[in-house]
Amino acid sequence: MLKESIIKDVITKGLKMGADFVELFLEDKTSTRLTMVDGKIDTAFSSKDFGAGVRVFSEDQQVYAYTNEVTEKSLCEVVQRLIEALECKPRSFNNLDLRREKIDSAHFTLKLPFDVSRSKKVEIMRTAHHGAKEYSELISQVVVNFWDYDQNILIANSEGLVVEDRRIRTRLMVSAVASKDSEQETGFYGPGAAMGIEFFYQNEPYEIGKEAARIADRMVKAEYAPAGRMPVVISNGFGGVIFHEACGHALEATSVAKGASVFAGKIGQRVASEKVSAVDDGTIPNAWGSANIDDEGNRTRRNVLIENGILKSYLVDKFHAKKLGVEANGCGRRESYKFAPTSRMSNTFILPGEYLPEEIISATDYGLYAKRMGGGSVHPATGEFNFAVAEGYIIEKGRIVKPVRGATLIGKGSEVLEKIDMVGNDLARGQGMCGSVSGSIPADVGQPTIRVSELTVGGRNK
Amino acid sequence: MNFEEFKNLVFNVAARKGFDDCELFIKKSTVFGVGVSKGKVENYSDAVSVRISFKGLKGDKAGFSVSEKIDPQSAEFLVDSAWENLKITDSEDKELIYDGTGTYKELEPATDLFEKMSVSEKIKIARCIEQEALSYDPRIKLVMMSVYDHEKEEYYIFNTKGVQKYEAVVGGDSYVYLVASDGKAPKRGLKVKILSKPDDLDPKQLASEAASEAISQLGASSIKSGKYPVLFRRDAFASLFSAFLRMFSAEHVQKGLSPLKGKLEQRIASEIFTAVDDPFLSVSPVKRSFDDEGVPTSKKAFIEKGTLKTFFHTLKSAAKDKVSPTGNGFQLKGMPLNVHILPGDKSFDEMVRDMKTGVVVIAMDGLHSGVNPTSGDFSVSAVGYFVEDGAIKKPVEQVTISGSFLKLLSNIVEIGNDVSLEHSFMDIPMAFYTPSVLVNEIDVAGM
Repeated sequence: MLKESIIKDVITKGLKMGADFVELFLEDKTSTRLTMVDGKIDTAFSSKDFGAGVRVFSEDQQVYAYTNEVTEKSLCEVVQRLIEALECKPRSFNNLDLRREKIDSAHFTLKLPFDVSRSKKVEIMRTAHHGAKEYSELISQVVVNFWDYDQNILIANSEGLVVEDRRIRTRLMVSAVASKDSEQETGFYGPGAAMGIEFFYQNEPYEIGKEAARIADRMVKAEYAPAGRMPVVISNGFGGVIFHEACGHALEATSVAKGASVFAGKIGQRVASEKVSAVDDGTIPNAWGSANIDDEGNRTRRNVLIENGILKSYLVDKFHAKKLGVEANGCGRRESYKFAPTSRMSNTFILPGEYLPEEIISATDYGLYAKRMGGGSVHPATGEFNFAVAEGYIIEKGRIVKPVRGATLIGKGSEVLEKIDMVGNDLARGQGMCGSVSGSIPADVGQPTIRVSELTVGGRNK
Repeated sequence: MNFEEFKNLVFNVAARKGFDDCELFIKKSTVFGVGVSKGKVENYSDAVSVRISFKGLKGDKAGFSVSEKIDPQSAEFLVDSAWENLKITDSEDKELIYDGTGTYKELEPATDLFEKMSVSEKIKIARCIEQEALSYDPRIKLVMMSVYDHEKEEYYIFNTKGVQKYEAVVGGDSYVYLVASDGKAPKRGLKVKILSKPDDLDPKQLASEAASEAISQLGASSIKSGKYPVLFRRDAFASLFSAFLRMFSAEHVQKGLSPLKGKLEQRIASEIFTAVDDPFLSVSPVKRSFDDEGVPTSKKAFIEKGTLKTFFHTLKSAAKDKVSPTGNGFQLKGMPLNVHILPGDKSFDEMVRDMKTGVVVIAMDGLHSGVNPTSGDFSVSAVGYFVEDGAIKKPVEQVTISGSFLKLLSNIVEIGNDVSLEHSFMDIPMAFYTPSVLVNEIDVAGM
């Protein structure tokens, strides 16, 4: 993607000016976004993102800059500006020995996005549209989005590393609107993977559309969720967003290194109920949040975060590794060349336990069953999190009795982990976009069905 | 290759391909940002980038493409992929390219004062804010990040119908995000200041506002679930309103994705409530004379004394509704630029007194997931204060507020006179100029 001699010159310039570490990140990404409204393609977009980012460390400071003029002259100017900002002292430096690392992709792709015609993609969207529309006569609108991309990156740094990788991703997102009387409710389902259009060989577009419609149809008929504290059973798959928000973000070195996380200094201590074990695994073949290497050029890994309630590891990027005195563990990620990488989650999930999901529900006298979760957010410093319940039900005397809509769950991360008192055996993952300091990135969340003995449910008062 | 040459090249390739008309919209961003923690620079960004959007028309249909590269291959990519995209588009909505016949307001040139400041001066300001925050009170334990940002966005539009325009928007912001602790539960404080020019920032004031807010939250607890009057502090109101703006987009209304369908000229809010979209708002750094489709922008009340007056239109949605375009075609959506909520005459303290018992909301979380602009419902977590006997009694945490946004607008009983410029929750350059508002009843979930 860029001549090795240019890479060498740019990095050498930085080192000679006094930088401790210099990194180049090059990106060439082509993507397609198609939007179908009411069964017709409304807008079709193709884009080419292209640029380079340069990161420099000096002592314990970090600076970043980017440009889409990827020439030796422009990159050298960028390095110069960065180092001037850090006020480094020049030093002598002889020869940078670059070694090219080879990647054998663990994420096999059968069909590249641009080898597949748009009409084939439209066909998939149309099938999803029908799946939603035909589910119920209450479905008043269906919006289908198809997104795929082919991202080629090159990472080179002053430790001599040069490595290239290619990430292919495909996702189908269906939003269905159900209308009844004067009310409207929505349902969303959006699975995706790190593979090409062959993703739909196993994930029927019709079923994807139907699932979005099922949620909308069920929710428009539901009453509003009650307000107050109660036990909450959270379904498998995207339900794992609770761990992602309540705990995952606070395990990122970005918060931990500042002492700003409730989990700082707690390695080896009990931070969760002993029923809880959780991992972050960026190596799962073709998973939405997987990659061969992270955006700092390190191999992705399976990191055990919590084992039987004991905190085992943080998610550590290169910059914060030094501050924490540990090794970076393959989780430095970024949205694009416009962001400096930092510690982020990839595919994060709670490991399966012993109960059948129906046993968890039948053991619950009264509470909320969150079958489908929406997104959420957290303040790692205080642990306060929130997330939306996209499809909820009331449990009474061990049975699901009625659907409820509009619920939000809130709590504090450290407390909720202690309150997980039942863990099911039905582990599954769901796909989402995770937004934080280094941008919006694909991430899987996951868990088996779990029960939290008490959470505040935001709803309406009788 | 400069923009002019690139435009000529693209237009030639497009004509050869068979497009009837076409347009290039170019956004050039020059951004600078520095974030400091413990005196050290941790976040730093210094960049220039260009994003070129192409729209090609054939008959009533359009194809779109984007490139960040300016070279002959990219010209081919833009035209070829837009052509392929156009071929699969089967929406019956007519696509248009603007002919430039409207009248454009003359704007003052953007300031260059941010660019003239040295890098070390900006780092110094970020460090100064952190220092001021830490020395405000020993209970301020940590400044997560103290930030100074500024950005120049330059917009160029060229089309084959003769529109050729340029303008620049320059603005900055500074914020501090910190943590207070008294040994028990830590509390956060976050203050953002939008800057039209460097002088707008008083580092000490920003630091002390964030620090005092975090300290005021120490010892917070939940309250009993129930229906309460809620006073939204102006910044909280700006966040909530901005998360619902999509419902005012004409395209969303036309597609059945907004609860406002069929509500034009109907009462949707309390009659004391007026909201104006003002692209020329003097206090805001974001001012535009044309939108991303080249249409002149215009100042207009979209809610006037409680009545819905207009939606935000793109060229396409205006043609479909057979109305004049409103100059709100930003990022292909109908969005406002600056939302100005007209102030009332009560001070913040008077409103606290008037509510007797209730909740003051100063911040909300979960606006991206707990707000549904299609149903109009929200359920989000909130922090603030509990009010009893017309006075603030204690800090509140771990509660949610839920309801219908349109019902909330109808239930506004008082509007403050404390208007100020607040940032939007939306990820596009826009600002809110709003006072605090008192709503007579909202569902609160707590204990």
